[in-house]
Amino acid sequence: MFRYIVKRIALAFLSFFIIMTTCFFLVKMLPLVVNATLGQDAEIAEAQIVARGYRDPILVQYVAYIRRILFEWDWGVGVNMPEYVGQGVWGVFIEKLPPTVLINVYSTLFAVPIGILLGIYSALKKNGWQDHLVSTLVMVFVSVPSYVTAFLVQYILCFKLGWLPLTMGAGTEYFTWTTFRSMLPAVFSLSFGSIAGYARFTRAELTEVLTSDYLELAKAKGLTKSQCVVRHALRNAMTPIIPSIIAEFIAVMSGSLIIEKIFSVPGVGRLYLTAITSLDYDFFMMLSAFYTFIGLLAGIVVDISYGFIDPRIRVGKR
Amino acid sequence: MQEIPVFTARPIGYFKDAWRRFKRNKASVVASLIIGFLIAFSLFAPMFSPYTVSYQDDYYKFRYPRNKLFLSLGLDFWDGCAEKTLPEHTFYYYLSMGKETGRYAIKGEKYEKFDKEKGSYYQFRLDSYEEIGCVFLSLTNGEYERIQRYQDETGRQVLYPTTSPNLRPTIDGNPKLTLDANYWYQYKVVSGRDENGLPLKQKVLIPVFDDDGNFQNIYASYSGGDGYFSRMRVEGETPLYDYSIPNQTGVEVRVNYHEYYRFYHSYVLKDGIDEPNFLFGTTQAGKDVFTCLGSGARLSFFLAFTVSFVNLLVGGIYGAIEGYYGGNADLIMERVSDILSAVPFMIVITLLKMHMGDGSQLLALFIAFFLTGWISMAKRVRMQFYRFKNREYVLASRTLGAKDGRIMLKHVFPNAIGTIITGSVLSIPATIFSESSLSYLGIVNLNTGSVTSIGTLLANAQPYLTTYPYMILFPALFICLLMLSFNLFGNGLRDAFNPSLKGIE
Amino acid sequence: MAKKQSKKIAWIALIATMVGGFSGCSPKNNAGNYAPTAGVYSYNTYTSVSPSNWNALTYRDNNDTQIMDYITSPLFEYDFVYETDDDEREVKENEISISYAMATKLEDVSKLYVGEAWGVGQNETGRAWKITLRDDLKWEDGTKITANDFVYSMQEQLNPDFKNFRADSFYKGALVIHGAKDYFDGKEKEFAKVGFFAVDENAFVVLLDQPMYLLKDDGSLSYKAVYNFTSFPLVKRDLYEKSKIRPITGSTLWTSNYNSSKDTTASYGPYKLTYFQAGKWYVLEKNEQWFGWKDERYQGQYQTDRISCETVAEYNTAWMKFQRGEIDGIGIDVSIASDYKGSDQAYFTPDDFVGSVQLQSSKESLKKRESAGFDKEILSYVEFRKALSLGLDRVAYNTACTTSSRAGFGLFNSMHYYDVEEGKAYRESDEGKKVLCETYDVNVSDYGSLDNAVNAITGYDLEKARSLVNTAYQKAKSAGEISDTDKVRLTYGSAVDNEITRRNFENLNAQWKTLMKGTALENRFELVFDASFGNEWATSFRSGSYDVCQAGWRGAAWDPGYFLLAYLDPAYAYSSAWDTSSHSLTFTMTGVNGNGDVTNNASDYYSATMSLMDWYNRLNGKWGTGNLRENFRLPLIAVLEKEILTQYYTLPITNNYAASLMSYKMDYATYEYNRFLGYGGLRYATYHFDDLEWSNYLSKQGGALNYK
Repeated sequence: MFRYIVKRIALAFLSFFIIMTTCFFLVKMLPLVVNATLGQDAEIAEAQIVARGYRDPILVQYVAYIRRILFEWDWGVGVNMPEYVGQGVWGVFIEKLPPTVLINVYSTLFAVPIGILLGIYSALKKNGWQDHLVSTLVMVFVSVPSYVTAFLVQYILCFKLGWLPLTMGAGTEYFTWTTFRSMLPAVFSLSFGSIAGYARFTRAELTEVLTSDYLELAKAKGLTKSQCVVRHALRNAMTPIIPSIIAEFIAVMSGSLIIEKIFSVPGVGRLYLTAITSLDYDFFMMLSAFYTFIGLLAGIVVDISYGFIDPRIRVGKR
Repeated sequence: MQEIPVFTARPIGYFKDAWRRFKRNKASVVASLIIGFLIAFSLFAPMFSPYTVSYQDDYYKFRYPRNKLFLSLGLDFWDGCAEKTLPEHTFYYYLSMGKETGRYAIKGEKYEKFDKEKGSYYQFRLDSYEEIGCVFLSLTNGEYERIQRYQDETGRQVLYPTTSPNLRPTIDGNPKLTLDANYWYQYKVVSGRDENGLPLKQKVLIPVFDDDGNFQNIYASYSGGDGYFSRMRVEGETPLYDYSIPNQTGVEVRVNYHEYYRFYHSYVLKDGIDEPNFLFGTTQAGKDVFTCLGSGARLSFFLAFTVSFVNLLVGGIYGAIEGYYGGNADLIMERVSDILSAVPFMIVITLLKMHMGDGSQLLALFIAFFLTGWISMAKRVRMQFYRFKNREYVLASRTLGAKDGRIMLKHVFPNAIGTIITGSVLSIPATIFSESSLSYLGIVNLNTGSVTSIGTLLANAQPYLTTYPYMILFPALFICLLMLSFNLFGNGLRDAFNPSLKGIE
Repeated sequence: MAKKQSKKIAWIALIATMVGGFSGCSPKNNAGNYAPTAGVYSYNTYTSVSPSNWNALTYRDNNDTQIMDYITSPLFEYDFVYETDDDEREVKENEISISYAMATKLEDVSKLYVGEAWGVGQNETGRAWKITLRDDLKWEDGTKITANDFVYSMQEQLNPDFKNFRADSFYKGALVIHGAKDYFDGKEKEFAKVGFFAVDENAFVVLLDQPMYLLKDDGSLSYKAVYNFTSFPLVKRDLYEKSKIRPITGSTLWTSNYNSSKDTTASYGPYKLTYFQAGKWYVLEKNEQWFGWKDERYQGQYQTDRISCETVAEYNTAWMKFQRGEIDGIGIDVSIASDYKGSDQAYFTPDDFVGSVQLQSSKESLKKRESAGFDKEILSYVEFRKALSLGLDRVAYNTACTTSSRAGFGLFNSMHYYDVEEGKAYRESDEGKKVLCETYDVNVSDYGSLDNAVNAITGYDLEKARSLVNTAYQKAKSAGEISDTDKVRLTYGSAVDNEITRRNFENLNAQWKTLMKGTALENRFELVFDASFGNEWATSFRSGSYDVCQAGWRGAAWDPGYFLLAYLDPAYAYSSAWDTSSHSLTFTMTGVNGNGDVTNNASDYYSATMSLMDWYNRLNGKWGTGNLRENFRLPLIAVLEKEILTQYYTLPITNNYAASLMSYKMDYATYEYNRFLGYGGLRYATYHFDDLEWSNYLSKQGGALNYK
């Protein structure tokens, strides 16, 4: 088991390195732009670019970049980003990380219990009207795009009823009550999709377990329905949930770009969008590295957790 | 003696069996019908609409949906109107349109008056197809004569008397007012300070009525040189009025836009459009939502089906080879697909778009979906192959000398088909969803004038969610139905192909 | 089971927090938890992109100047003039007075610096200016501001290691400080040789290579003092030294993070930065150390105590905030235009931006990019280009593709003044009007008067345009460039492919196709969309990579003579292949002698033939023994504009207008746009509610306000 983990981690690093190098080269191969406006000196812009070393051959830039990261942990400085010119990339990134992470954590905390409970409920009342109602709701939430639900939440809860603020509050104290309240609309919007996903997943797993043989045996032995469900069925049905929670968490992290834009959350998603459109090399590389990293991390964690949780799928055995 | 069992039921194939099970699942059948309907909609809807995707009109933007059936029933729903509560001067502005041309912007001429501290407010249903009223147009002399001939032939009045240039509102602070042809009545300008002593930001035009409470016109008096020979004139025309003012292009005239639209499409372009009537309303560029939705659905379907199919093919072959041969080949191929699968989708689409330029976005999107999509298919096929490749019948077949390809195709593959098809089908709505999210974020733009996609419709409608909700209603409904039915359909397929899920139908 | 129980507990806890959260619901406007207080007036606004770098030495664009405007103070300033002196006074339309703000005296000391060292001639004036400062100027922490601070700041501005963005404003254009460029390039090592030095604790001298005339004849300040001399940078020495950052590995560029966050910012203006969260929110509050609070001239102004600005990227969110009273002003977007442009609270602002269609000028590049069966060279015929101009219905274009802009016909619009002090707009002058008539072939005699003729201009004459197409076609055919079966295909290039650019493209394509009907090119013309140029669209066009683009210029609204640079200088002009250095023009002026000096004798005249670039340099440099007076510059500007327009490389189509809504909470001093002060800004704004009253008013209205 241990050897397997080490192998997986080594492989992940290799993938990471290959992907980052490819990204770097692909991005640097795009033409660099110098746009002059009336009265401004194109020469100065050009001089700045040369001084930063952007006209050197790509390999030279690459070596300098790697050295900078490994020895100085300096991910560069914003050049084209409209809001972060001259600021260190790593510093800005660390500053923007908490809101995104918090919103995702809150939304997971909110969605998991509700989703699972809904799934259990509908599995127990299978084929009854409750089951159909929940299934339809789940389908609807999965089908409606997130920006539509986000806008409805914003319009109804924040604008018409005024229960929650329209945008996320300012401040770096993320654990105060006011900031939490201002994060709630974003959390709700994010969680709708997750709730639907968890409910559907739980229902499917639980129904599969409920029809298996050992449950029939338990019933035959004389256990009541709730005892059956709680002591046997749930435990087995829950095992695949945890990996899916982790996978869902990662998916939501990269998917919250829209929500962050709508609710003015000062998080990583907006940073990424701006980096792409303004073609700021350092920010783009840093953020791509980040998303790749968490993707790989998720993969490893899910694999390992499968191995721990479900003895039937001990990895290494084929 | 032994009894030889006689089989009374005929043996049926795997697919027939699955089909039977599928039919029994009512939800799946309904879902597949809905999918069929949506596909039919996307194929045939553009054919039944007189508009094309490239059609657009500069004035008929943001028009409400209008259904002729509902209109004839007299319902206040789907009638192209919107409920408005507006201050007095705006109310008179719209009322005057009907008084002049008989085409009422206020539906049914019904309104209610409220008094608030700021002044009187009126509530009425504003017909979005009539609210444009009259506009100024510059025409050549030839076109001018053509309209007049049209008027005389059909008896429909398009041209209305023009207003004296020095009586028109010329408020420099408001550029739209000087071009507004709807001020055909006498007005007084209210400015300075309002009742609270605060400076008025905009000068407001209040109509000046005559003793009977009617509007008084400010038409240009007859000068003898307006070249108007048509017999259609406004009522009570003594003295006569001028209908045009000469300018560089030819003449400047004042037309009722609704009538001009009819004239232009039925007489000049002859493109089959008669009256403006948009079943699902128009977009912010003046395009017809109904047609765009059909055409966009076509593109989205096309993209999703192609992506699915290609992923199936490539992923299937890749996974088959991996799973069947195992060993070193499997190891290497797994590593490669591991690395590829770790690349975030955003990076792929961004880099592709930047390198391929804005000209071939559809191709870039297709490649991006393909690059990130075939891996999951390959994994699934590989898993299936691992499960079935060591069965006895496979060994038997190999002993009998069958080649690898034949074994893969004829023996192992059919077992996997169920999962493969289900996975394939379920990836279609995911592709459409991703495409719509990317369009929304502005990362791709598939709207090229004669082609559009559902994602762009949603993205373009999103800023107007609170002001013109109908624009997002129809595409959102479409995509919801699509997802819902595809999910149910996929579920049904999975249940049908997998008989071991007994009791769960 | 423990698992289920713990899950239940977690769920209950979450519900409890949610329920708790719904209580207490008044709309808040918090940055660092600010609660509405009586007697405090806050201005709440929003921006879609947060400013990041309001360092006067190197700021990037207008977005960064948001904060800069509040924390700086000018040397000279404009003031409104009032009708009466009482409290209810109204601002006089379009009038201003000019006063000393941070400075107390402005003197022309050119005669003190005659000699080779500074390159000043014996009788020259306007070459050296001495500025005396007030002695009570302080930074926000109480440190005194002296003339040496200005000198230090200029030295840092031109520091060769930093390559600061704004450095060129001091050696290029109208303001050329002696030795600045050499110091910036590193050729001159001693800053003492640069024409910017202190002569006293409170006075410094600026030495120019090009003369400037900043005082009126009676010695009082002219508007030019404000226009030219407000942009001297000022940074706090100790803070700036701390903010310098060494070059990173692989680079030789020094950078600075001065003025990019709360701790690195120092204010010398009426407000100081008290809170800044990058990409999210910033707050400014009164700077008690500002000299203006004790100055009589500012009595009754700057009623705002606090400025709070949130970054909201999504227009719809900002619109909802405006309706709930959390934001005090917003632009009218097309999505709400139909309901709100008639509102009492709406006001319209004219803009000096003129948008045009640019046509490729390089015949070579046209020929190079042709393919079999397709011709592009016909674009090189002026008749064809003129046809494209007359075949464009500008009114239809603006209705389709803009919200509130109007058709544009000239290179200048109503916001360009040739005599700013008297308020004379170029487009209103007879010369300006005549240019339009001549460009668009409108005969004044057909319409009676010049004004009628100008009003009749639509720029849209299909008959004439079609005959021009045929003429051009015949010419091209006889030159062997186009055959009877060739089609004309032009490439329309764009930076991005989105709904807006596509819509503009479709409109042009459809209009020009209609133009070709009834000509030899009927059904043989098409426009093709290409957005692969990205951010390089401008340079690509100039180097001949495609045929049609849409671009405009903004700026230099008070110096139309200087503005012509955008169309004549090959470094800027889109028609880069049009050689303005060899295109010659004969020009005659009466009342002026052979040297270009004004004589007021009607029989004197001046006539010369030179290239356009030479005329331009004359217009913007010395002429005769001094500067030519404006009403004599005017005819030359008109002649140059006509020459540019009649090449038909640039086809103007749009004059910009912007529409906005004002909150009920406050008002600007006036809604008549003043060409110097706009609407007065926050300096003159007045409030009807203080923060607490506004908060109460909102709760009484039930949350959302009606602005219709």
